[in-house]
Amino acid sequence: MSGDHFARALVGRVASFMAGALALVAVSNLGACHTPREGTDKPSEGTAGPNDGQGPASGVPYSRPGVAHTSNIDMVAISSDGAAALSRDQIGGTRLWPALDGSREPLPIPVQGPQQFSVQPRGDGFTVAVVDSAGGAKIFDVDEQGEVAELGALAPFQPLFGIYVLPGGERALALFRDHSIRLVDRTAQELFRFEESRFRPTSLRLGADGKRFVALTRGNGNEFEVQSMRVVEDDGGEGPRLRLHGAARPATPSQVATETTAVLSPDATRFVVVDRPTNNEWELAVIDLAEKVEAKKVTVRVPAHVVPNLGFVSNDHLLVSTAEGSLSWLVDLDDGSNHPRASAPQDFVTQGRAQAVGAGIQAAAHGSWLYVHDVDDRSHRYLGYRDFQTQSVGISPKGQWVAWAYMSGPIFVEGLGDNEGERFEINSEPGVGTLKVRFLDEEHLVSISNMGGILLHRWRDGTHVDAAGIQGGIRALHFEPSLGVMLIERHNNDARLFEVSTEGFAGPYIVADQAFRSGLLAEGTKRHPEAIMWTLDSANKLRHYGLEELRGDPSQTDVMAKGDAILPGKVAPLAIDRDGRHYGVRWNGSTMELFVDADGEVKTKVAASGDISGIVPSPSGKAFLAIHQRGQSTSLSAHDSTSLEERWSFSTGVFHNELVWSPDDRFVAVAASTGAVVLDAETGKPVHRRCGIEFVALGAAPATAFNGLNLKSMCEQ
Amino acid sequence: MPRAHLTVTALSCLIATSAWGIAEARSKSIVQQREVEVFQEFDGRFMGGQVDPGPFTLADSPVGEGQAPASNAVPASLHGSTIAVYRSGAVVIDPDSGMLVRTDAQGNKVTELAVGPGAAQLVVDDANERLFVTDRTGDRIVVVSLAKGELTQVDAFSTKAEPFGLALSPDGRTLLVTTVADRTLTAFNVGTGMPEWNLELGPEPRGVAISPQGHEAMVTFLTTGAVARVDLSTSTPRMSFMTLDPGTRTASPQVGLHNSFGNGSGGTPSALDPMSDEGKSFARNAFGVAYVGHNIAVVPHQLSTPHLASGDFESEASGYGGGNGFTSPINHRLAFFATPEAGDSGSVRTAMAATNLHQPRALAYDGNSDTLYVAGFGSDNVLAVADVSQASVHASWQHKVADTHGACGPDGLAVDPSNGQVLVYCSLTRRVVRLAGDPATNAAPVLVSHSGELADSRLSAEAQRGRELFRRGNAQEISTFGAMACASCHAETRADGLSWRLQGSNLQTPLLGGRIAGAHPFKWDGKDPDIRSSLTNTVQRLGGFGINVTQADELAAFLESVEPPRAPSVEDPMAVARGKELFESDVTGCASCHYGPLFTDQQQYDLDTNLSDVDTPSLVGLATSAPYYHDGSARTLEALLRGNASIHGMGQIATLTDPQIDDLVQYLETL
Repeated sequence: MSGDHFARALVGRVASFMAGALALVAVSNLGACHTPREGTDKPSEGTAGPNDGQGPASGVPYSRPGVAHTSNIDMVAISSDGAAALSRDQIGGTRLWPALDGSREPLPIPVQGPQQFSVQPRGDGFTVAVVDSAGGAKIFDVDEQGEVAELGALAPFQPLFGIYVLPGGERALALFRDHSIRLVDRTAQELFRFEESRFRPTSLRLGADGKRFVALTRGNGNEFEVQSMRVVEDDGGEGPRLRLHGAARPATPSQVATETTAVLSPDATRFVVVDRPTNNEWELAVIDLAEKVEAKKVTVRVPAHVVPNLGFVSNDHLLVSTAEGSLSWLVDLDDGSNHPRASAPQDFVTQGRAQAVGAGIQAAAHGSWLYVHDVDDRSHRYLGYRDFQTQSVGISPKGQWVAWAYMSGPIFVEGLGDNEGERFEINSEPGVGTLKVRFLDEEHLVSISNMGGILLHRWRDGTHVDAAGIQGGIRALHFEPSLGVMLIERHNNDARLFEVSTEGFAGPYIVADQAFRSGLLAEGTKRHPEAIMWTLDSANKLRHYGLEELRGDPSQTDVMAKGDAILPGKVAPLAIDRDGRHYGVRWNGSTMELFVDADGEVKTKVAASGDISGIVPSPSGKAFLAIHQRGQSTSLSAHDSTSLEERWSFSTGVFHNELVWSPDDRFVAVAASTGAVVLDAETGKPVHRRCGIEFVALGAAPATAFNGLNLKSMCEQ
Repeated sequence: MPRAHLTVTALSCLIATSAWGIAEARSKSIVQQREVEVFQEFDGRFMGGQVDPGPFTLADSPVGEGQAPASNAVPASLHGSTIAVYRSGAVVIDPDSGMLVRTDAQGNKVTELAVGPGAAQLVVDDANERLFVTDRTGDRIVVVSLAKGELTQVDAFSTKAEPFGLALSPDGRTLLVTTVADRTLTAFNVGTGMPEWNLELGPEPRGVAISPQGHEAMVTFLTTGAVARVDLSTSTPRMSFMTLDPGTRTASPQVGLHNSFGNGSGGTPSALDPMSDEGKSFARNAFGVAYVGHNIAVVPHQLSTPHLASGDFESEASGYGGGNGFTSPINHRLAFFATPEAGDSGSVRTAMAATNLHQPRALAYDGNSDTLYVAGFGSDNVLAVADVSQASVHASWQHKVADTHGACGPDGLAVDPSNGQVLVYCSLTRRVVRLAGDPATNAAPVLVSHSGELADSRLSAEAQRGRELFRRGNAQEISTFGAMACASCHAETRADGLSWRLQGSNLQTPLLGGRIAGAHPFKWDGKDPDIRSSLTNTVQRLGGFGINVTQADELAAFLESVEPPRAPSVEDPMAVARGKELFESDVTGCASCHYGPLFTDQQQYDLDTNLSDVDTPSLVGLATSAPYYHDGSARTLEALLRGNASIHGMGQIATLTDPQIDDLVQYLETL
């Protein structure tokens, strides 16, 4: 990653939003991503450069791929300079958004289900602190490369309410459930402990200077007190200390004070709390922490049935927003005037808690996306991935490239091995996503759209070499680049075979034999050496077809007359490999067995519990993958085709859409509902992952923002 | 102003208030009728998202890898148990009698050695023909020679107070020991018997296990929702924590005007309140941990939801946890933590599995077949989890271990490496059951042998029956659908550190051990005059069909037999003396209510709480009974003495100085 790029996101609001402007330029051109356009003539630079005005907003190269939220965001925190945010989703996934201008993808933070968190920039990186689900705290360093390292922890033996990283990122205030406040360094070492009789803080609010803060102490019901405090540097050599500052100020709001209904000004001189509804407005209580005067009441034009959210934009201006999509208001606390502003999106998911305001930037949840609103310049954007549910995956014959396709957008080609970091984008038809993708060679790939449109691409320059089509209802795709054939299974059981070359398509040859399962054969079988494909119909009749036979346009009578019946007692195969071996599962008493039948020589292996829903032999026939369904979980196991011994297994979560081998047997790729992964076929170890495709900054979030699956991303496992 | 006194703990979860008794009884009968209908309709399984999980249901993707790990990769001595296999026979430590017993392959007693009541765990050092036992009351590790078919004590190491968990490093040189009262993890040099290092832990540590590569250890706790992971790869062990607690609240119904568009993830105001536990679940009762293959540690535990998300629908008739009676406040799980191999970096991958084992506790791993065996202490069943280190992890057979001798109460498992047979130690009958099963199938295992009674119980027959009833799970006479056992909140008759929602109040789970005989009346409001009526009322509140007088007597006999928890070691006797003086002085006035052997005047006072009166609780075992006050609002004794809890005006604590508070805390922890 370029350090310059990364620093850009950290130098503060102004630079951040200059970059944001660039991002929005990119965003404004994103429509072009769905319009055929010329690709770059410099393949090594890809099409994702930040300044080419054509690529996605995620212009910064990826040293560590971002990971989408796979569930709706339900908690948000923002740094005091408004440059970065943290988010938690409903299944506990946690992300750091290193830039709020769309220039950086969100990074996973390795903590599940934090109760509270905070973030502050530190140099070129960040300090992130979380209260974990057990009540302990962890402090992480996120460096300029996006690498995350745990620096220290506070044991959950004494649980915390919260931990608040102070601006500067060097220290944090840890508020324990015994109501002590401890100042800790980045390694969680205690620097000072503050305890006071009859002082029961349950949450803190920080000022922007890292020295002033307030503690909220609970009284009866919704009553609480606001106590100003200071981090005092002790020149006497005893280190920093915490001190009370002034008298506590009472508040008696009509509902429980939360992070979004009770807020502190950046200079820590004003505290505002949502007080109570009056007629069709809300009263805010503005407590002057510098002067012991009665709280000032300010009204805001928010309907009484909606509890507003607050956030200081500056020391005298407050953003008051709601969770139901009506207007936000910028409230001048000096004269009480209300000024309309754009609103955070309607949020029925979190009821408005998932928002935060820092340095005039509002960050709020919108499904699995983040809404970012610059209150000062009145701009806003939605950050997120267009999708994370990968529909199809292909690996190039030499294993140098992987292509991802998804339902609603373009195809991405990313480098493997020596090409790691290179990325190309291929447009799909506007409004029609891609269902299948395969490489013909290192330069060409074939895509099939959701509507059945088939394109042969020269993917480096985006050229469409040829087009074909098929009616929809596609069930599966089999591709054999070494033979230049492609077999498309359809749900109505009339498969289509195409010949494919770098020049284009020939065919289709329609095989209307009512087969519910079929496959390609690279080298025929012993009994059918000329066969290029096989089919299996519902009467358990197995048919083989040669390419010349299909080119000769056989009559339906001839087709239905041919074939070999699978004898009673034999189990129909789930797959047949290039050597003609049959793969399947059968019951032996109460035990499920995998079997491989090589011309009558049958080998079996007891399968683990659950169902085996599919088998995918490798192109060479030396190995195969079995797909296991156990309860809600899907996993793959790779086996040697001769011994049936298991090589490895890999859990893919709940649903996977496609499972393919690379033509050279080196890789296995999985396209799944929570992302995609390329595995080393020998070890099963991931070599490349992508759990979020097409990270963008948009003026309006797409419907996919709410495509949460409530399943942990494959990239979090 | 009420009389000055220091209210700390009383009885809630098991022995709770009866102030609502009559009203509760009327409304409960209606609820129970509905429960029975649902129970019958759904075969006794909880509904509403809490359907019986079956023996083993993974909630996450498996963390295991593909290939089966190398056979015998994990020696049994990497974690302690009450039973171990040695030369085809078994060695057993019976915590009840304190007897160490050696049996032959058929389960016949060969010889025995008295270690001491409460002895907790043992590990066998095969290479040196010896074993180590934790003597919980004697504060020592007893080293016993197994040579010549005997049990001969050859050495003993002194430990911190109340040793419990044991683990022997793969090289056999280091013994890790947890202590309950002193809350430590200590590494002993086995050769010298001297401690090499010591780590401070939190409350209620129990099990410990060392990874097969020896580069890390795990420690479990009864009342902390996390597992401590100790890095052993450097000379200075470093501790980090892996959470067992789920991170998200279960949502409340969204009701009320403001809540329609209010602020908060749960919808109800309490979900936003940092002081509220509504909808939060807490992992409890993690007694043990075991490594399986691929550096995966498995931790059985319980998930308690003391304040079920019920929103404004909570009523007087609500069941335990404030729920509707159809959502279980107690569930049981197995946690899988896949940690990096020695020398590798990376994050820990976690998966949780629900299980129908009640109070899963004992563990044993068979590396030959990659099978983990887990036993339900409260349900008397053993589960075989096959391919446990692999992505193909799944439940194999499950078998009930109970016979004419009575319920088992399995608290120890071991695998005979020579034939894969599973040995179960039944703590209630003090017998060993040997099972032969095939983890490749679901077929029930064959009972190979059943030993005779290996030791005599210290308890009366009546108390033994009470002990069995106390831990009994799936018992509808005890609780709704049998989801909760007495031991669910009071493992080892201690406290779970939670405050349970009961009829609109949050009531802290009290410690029972040592606080029964002579401590009446019971419950936080002191409305139950004796232990038997209190037990009867508690079972009614738990939603059980009810216990009879005999059962109440048995439970009472058991509870009255339990010793109080051990106090931590005194580090500064002078401070304790000063604290005692303060406690008994007019300066604080503590002793005006907390006096006598149990530190209670057995009276009730109006303390301006949501209870009409609050009973003066016994202070016995105070160090282990946090949080404090009837509502658990004081997390620590320090917070209590600083007035940082919900009760004010008791004693003269407002004038206490920091040193005085320190002295008082040190004294109170000795009670």
